[in-house]
Amino acid sequence: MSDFVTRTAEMRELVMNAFVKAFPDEEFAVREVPVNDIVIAVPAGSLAPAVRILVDELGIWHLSTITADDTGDHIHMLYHFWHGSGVTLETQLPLTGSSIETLTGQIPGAAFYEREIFEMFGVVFEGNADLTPLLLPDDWTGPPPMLKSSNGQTESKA
Amino acid sequence: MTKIKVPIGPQHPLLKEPLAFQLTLEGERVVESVMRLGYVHRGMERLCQERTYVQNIYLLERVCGICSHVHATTYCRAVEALMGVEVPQRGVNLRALLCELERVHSHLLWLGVIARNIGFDTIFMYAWRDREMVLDIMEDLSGGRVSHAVNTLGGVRIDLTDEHRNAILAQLDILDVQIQLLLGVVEHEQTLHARTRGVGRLTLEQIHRYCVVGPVARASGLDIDLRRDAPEPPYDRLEFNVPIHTDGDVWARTLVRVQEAVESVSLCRQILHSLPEGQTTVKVPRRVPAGEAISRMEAPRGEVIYYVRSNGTDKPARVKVRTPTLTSLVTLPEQLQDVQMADVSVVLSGVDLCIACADR
Repeated sequence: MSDFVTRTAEMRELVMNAFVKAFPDEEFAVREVPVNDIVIAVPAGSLAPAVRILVDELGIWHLSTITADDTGDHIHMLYHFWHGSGVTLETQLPLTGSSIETLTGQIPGAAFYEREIFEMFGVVFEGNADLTPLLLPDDWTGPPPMLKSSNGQTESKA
Repeated sequence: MTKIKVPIGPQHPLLKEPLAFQLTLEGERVVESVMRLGYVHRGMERLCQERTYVQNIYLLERVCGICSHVHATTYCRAVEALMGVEVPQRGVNLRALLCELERVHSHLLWLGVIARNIGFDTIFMYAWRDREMVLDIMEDLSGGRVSHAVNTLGGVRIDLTDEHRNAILAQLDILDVQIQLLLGVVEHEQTLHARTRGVGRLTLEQIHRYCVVGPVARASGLDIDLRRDAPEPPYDRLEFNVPIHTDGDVWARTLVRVQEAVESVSLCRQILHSLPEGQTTVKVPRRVPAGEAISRMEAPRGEVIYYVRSNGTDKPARVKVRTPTLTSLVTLPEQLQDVQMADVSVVLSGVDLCIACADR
């Protein structure tokens, strides 16, 4: 408990220093999101290596969940971690035919989150052998239900 | 030896909610288990996109019956953060009061369920009798025993008179004595020990790998509790212990939950004694500005996390919910490995299943 970072600014410094050292050629956009999270944009190909830095080097092993969000232009993936304060890695994937490396090799706890995103959004997690339906019925033949295109929805803007 | 397949569920006397297991047994020993969720999947996240922010409070309360208030509160916190609104302290305290009462309710309910599942009907009766006391308090406060609908955007819609507050304090005194009795049973009763000690053991390393939260993690030695680690008012000024045990078996989880119930009763008392004066709610802007918010709270089963994205319209663009039961469910195949058939009921009850939460 004593080594848990307790403030957003400390978390930001800790993670960004490690990322800048590990990926010297890349620029990472960081922003703060309420309630107490920082969100770091990572290219899709660098996501699994970035998670390795978090888990192996910084000891940030708790993956709260993986969120997928159809913004109308792309699928916005967010990987939420917690270590006394929240740190989220975000990346963008194309709306259809997208795939990203699985985290289940490093974090077995990601299994259910990846299964749900596969069935709801159609994102393939490479290396995850068990992408069977989690919540949808076995005989589901329709398109991934959370994709806006599957429901005739469009992303409305105010 | 021939292998026998035993199905448990989707409907089964053990299970309060539908969940399907296919166990493969060799003799009395479980060699493989396959789990299927989704029987209570209602598509809540999709439904949230079709309802206004206020309508979603009532929808998200129904993700789960037992932790309804904490779901609504976590969602409201996320939306209030997007709007830049600060709930008055009296409202914050009343929300926390219900959160803690809900925690007591959940743990007492669970104690009854696991006692029933191991055949200890006496404790089932006692725990559910005491649970009635908590439900009566919550009904007097909010009008509902299980679904409270107390939250609005900007605060709560209930308030307490001094008389009402003293009545609740008197009830809490009685409840405290009853829960201490139940704690004594859990600590000393030999039949409970015989059924639950050494069963369903999870090591701290497994907890880390599966990112488990809540009492299951605390029973294996993980020292986390969002109320203490990310102290939001009123928890920043309240005193409470977080019970941690290292055995990692179902008995440790039982101890953690009943001790947490004791702590929650103490927290309720502290909140009631130090309830700040003032408004319980504040006016909020008409539209939620575009943006994202991530809100986490400590539900009875662990960390619940909400991600809310607004695109400036009157309906949210995305509401993502991850409930704590999902983190325990992912460990079940490992927990069930090499377990005796007679212990399957103990293992399944030990993780405090809330399938409605997991399925949404």
